[in-house]
Amino acid sequence: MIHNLDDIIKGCVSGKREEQAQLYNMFADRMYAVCLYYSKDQTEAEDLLHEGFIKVFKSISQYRKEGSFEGWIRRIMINTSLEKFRKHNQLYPVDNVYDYVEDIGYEDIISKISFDDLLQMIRELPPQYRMVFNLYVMEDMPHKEISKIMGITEGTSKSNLSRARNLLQEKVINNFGLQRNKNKMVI
Amino acid sequence: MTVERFNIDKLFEERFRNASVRADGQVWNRINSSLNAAKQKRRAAFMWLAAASFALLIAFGSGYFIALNQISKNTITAQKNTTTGNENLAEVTPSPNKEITNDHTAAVEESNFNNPHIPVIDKTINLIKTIVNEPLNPEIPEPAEHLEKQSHSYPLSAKLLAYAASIPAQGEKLDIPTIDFYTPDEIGNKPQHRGKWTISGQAAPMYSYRDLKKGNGNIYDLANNVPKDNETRVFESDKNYYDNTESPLMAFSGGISTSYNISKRFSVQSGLFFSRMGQINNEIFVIEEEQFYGSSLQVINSSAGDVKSDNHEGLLFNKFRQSEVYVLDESNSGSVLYQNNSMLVLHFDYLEIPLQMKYKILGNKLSLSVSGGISTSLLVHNTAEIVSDNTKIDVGKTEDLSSSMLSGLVGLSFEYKLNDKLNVVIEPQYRQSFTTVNNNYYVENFPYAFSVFTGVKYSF
Repeated sequence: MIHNLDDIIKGCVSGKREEQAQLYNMFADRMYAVCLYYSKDQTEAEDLLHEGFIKVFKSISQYRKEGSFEGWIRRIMINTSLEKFRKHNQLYPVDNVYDYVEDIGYEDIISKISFDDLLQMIRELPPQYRMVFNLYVMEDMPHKEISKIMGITEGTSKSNLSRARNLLQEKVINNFGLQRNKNKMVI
Repeated sequence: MTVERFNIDKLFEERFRNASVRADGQVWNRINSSLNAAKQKRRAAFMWLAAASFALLIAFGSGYFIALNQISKNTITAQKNTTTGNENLAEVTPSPNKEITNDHTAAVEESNFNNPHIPVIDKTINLIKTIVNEPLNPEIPEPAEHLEKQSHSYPLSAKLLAYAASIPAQGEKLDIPTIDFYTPDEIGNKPQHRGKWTISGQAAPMYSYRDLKKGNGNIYDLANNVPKDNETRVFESDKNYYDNTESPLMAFSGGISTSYNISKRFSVQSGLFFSRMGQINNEIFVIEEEQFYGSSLQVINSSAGDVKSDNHEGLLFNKFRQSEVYVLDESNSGSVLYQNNSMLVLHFDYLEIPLQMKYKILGNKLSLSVSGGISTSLLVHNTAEIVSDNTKIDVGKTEDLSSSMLSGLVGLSFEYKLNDKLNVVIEPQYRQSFTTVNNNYYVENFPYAFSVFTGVKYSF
């Protein structure tokens, strides 16, 4: 029996397994994609999805209906990812801002590279670079916020982002045989 | 504030933003199992509570009825103290000699348990001898069971006994030594009070800390495909950090307990205790996560779980900044370290229902027993405070604590007998929790505690 989202949430608040399964089926695929690009491999992503949904079911009564429900679940997934990151990655300060030079054109690459290609590239980044890049690009989070939640300085956050961009750009150029554009240097 | 975008950013954003990937069906199975396990855990805790409450109810209920029986047995003695010799003696019906004799002896037996009344009973017996005009035979043995049955018939009214008690010197005139009414065994061996039930009040300072063990899940590094040595490395690294930055807490415990003596040496004991356990974090690592989560959320990490502030009116961050006591370590801004002779004190308050067996090894006046058992603890409160020399700041509570714990108890019991009913008790006790203090945490935190209870025990 299919319920609307409000009914499903109510059922989950009451701990009903049927509604919990429906909620999972409704959001699991999109959340799994999020977990994939925040993780170093598929196993880690599945664990993240598992733990994230357990938190969703445990704290669903605290959902205040401020903003979209999907956004709320997504924040829990990213929160879970951040908790793991903080516990298992030694943070090291890199205060000198690294230069990033834009060498590729958007139109050159967008049609050639798939989700899986990008996933492979972002997984090859060092964990700290990957986390900063994701928070900045995917969550629209400014460096000030990234520095607070990751326990690094703003300078380190900017530097990590630049290095992540450079590494990703190098991979794109090398893996897909693109020509470098001679664009402006950006700091 | 908007973030700057480059082509490489747009590429990832475009592909990732609304991506959807089919997750392995096993993930839901694992979630389902975790939810079932949590449900079973709650159910088990409830069953423990119900069983313990039932045991306690039975214990107190049985004790109450036994106490009532004891009181009714002693009624005759109580009446002697409250009636006077001016009562109407016309109500008294003289009884056959034999029956009176038995009752006299019963009265003496009663008096044996209540030393201060012995002279009164002596007078009573002497008066009765006068009434029946026949000397009593001190040789007649009186089995205790027989006396107990007879004592309920009371053929000689208590009023008569009371009247007899009010007449001075009657016994002296008859010149019959009262010692004749004791059996040879009783001479010089006053029967001791042996109450089956006891109730005691006890309190103890408690040295409380924890053991850390590796959990079985909830951490990506501990996934099935990750090599075992990596699991151990990650856990050992975190354990070392916690062991270096955390320390034990001196807390307390107190409550009442009741015990039933199964035999001379064995007894079973239960009760209700309030116990404060916990730990101290000497390094306070605060992470402020305000805008990202859309609310005022701060996290302080500990081996028992994350401490989260429930203060939505102002950030902990700001609270500390305004305080002169705490220092913001600017060298690592964002990840804020406050260290100025301050510590994070975690309190976990439990209501406990222990169930123990006790075995008396030796002693009489001063005795030694060993005890062992289990205790079900229900979490009733939990607090987290940052404490400095003169400042104490409530920073919320530890998240995801288990609502109940099951612990094993072992200990010694030294008892010093003040009199037949009162004992002073000193009980060193060690307890080790079998279950973790926290849920869904990859570091499993097993509290343990050492305490020395002192108290007074009353037998009835």
